[in-house]
Amino acid sequence: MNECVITGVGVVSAIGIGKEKFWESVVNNKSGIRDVSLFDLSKYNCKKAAEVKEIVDKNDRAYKFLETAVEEVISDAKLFLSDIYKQKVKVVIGSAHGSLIDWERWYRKETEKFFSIEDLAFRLSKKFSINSLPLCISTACTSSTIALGLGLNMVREGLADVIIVAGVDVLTEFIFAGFHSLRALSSTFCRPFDKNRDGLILGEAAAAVVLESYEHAKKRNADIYCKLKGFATTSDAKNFTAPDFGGEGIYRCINNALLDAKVEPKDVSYINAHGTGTLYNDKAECIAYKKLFQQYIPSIPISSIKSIVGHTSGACGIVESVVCSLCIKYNFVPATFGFQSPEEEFADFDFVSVCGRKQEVKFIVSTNLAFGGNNACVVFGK
Amino acid sequence: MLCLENNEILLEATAVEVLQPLQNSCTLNSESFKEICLFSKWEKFRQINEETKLMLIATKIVLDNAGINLSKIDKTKIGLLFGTTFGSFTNYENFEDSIITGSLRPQEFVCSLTSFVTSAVSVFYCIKGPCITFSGLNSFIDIILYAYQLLKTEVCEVVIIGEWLKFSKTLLQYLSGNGYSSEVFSTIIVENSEFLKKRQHNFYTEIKINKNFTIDDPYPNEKEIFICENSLGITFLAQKIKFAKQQGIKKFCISYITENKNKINFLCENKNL
Repeated sequence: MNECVITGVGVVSAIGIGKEKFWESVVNNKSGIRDVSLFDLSKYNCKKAAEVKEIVDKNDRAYKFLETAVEEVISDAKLFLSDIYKQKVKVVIGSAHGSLIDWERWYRKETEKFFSIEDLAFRLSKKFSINSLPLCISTACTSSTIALGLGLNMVREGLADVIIVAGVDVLTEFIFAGFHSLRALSSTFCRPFDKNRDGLILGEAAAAVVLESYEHAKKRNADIYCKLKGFATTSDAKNFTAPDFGGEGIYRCINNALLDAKVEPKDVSYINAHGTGTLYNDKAECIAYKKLFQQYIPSIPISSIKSIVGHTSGACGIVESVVCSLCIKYNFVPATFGFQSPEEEFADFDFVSVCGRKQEVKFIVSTNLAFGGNNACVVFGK
Repeated sequence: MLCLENNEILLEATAVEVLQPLQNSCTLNSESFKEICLFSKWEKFRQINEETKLMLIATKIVLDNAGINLSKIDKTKIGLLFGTTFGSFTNYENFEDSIITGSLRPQEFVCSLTSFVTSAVSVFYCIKGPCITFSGLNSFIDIILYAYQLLKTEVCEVVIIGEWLKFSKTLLQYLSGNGYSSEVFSTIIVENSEFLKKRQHNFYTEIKINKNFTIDDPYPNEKEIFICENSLGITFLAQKIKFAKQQGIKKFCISYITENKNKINFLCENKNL
């Protein structure tokens, strides 16, 4: 079985386009959440989101995001476009809504065209001369985390030389109204794990990573960010929107991912949490962490970047994978913007707040949860 | 399920179901299936959409045909891998209408998620293993291979693979000219051979996947069917398996060739992408 490594990253987000600007914002805990200009929010209580201001055009927005992230990842991984068609390269995309913004405009008769998620993947394949048929995952907010897991399995089985895993979701009024109708949006600001948290703030992003076998990366002298060591996904089978309040499905998911990675809970250096800032999500996650990491929980830093980059729906897993790759490369643990104090029952947790920490990072657990009780977890290693 | 050699895998399907409309119709109605009464007392029944009802029915039939009693299985060892073209666009349309009229309908938003059908099936049957929704109709080979990996690594003992296509105003517009003539809901069950032995059940068909098959390979023999076209949906495979079974053929050979530049170019040109 091949060992899987990450050799390139690319990102488009409200805190920066390109890994340098993005990482600078993560390190400095600089939020990208501002007033929304893409559509009229006068009907809604929440007026803010993590919008990518540098790309103003609504038309074909999801593809533009994806193309920019994939262009960066190909260059970052030093994959020469002239060589791609000669290799077995595959694109795996994760997205909850894909090009929904175009559909919404088509439905309102503002444009003539819209695309499926698979259309976006086919366009990417054509643009970058990738010959393999793409694979697309749409499991709401775990979409790109599961895409990453499937990419890992393909590398392990030797089904492709290089896998480009990408994720995208862009802001639309549809999504905003959806979360508003579920009363999931914060009326103040996003502060995951804080005892006074009151909801999430939406965001938009695209990100991509290049996966390949360690042998393949070595052979072509690629720089390695980190290893992708394990993956698991489970289902709560309880509710359509709320998580299992006992965190049982999340616990099984993280446990299975650690077993897959052959990493002991005590060896985990950092938990990159889903941490949306909603009351039930954060609580269920913490219950699962406590059950799994037990006596080690006070010594494992935990944070969520959603309070600076927003909840980017199906793209969140791959955006966080870029963060985790950079955390391992630069030995850094980011903070949770806005976090002040924990709930009493999680007072012994090491929630990283105010500013990030420079420390050795060997193994990271990164978790994402989705509507329908879908859980996904990936484990990164040095 | 055996790993025969490096480049070849074999897995066993134990049941296949394809729900399609009768002749002269292109749509399906859950009320026309007697199985619907099994779900109508479910407390969440009123929250689910028509595609979920039909997928619950397709799943019920395939489980029965495979002789699987879910109450006797560890439900953390069951996986659901469903594919769909676009998701539930009737719900997208309904929720978008509710935005325009100003009276938001949250359940329409929840049902519009592409993964809603898979999640709802997992909730009803209490399936706690991997539940993944694939978007698109061009990837059955990757779905089958992932099912194989779940069985091989013993993450799952049983994997239910499925696909659904439900028409909506949007989908009819999107699919116009693409040759989809009717709604369809299909399911296939693949199992771990040890588990199959344990429950003393025979397999329905064997699926052999080989990395080295090419389009020029000879037709193996009259007991096997060889499929080079792996770039279609689960329904294509389910229909082929059903047809083969009727002909007394018990083995499927599928090529693992995912390079298909022609198809990528064709789709991009055909849809003007």
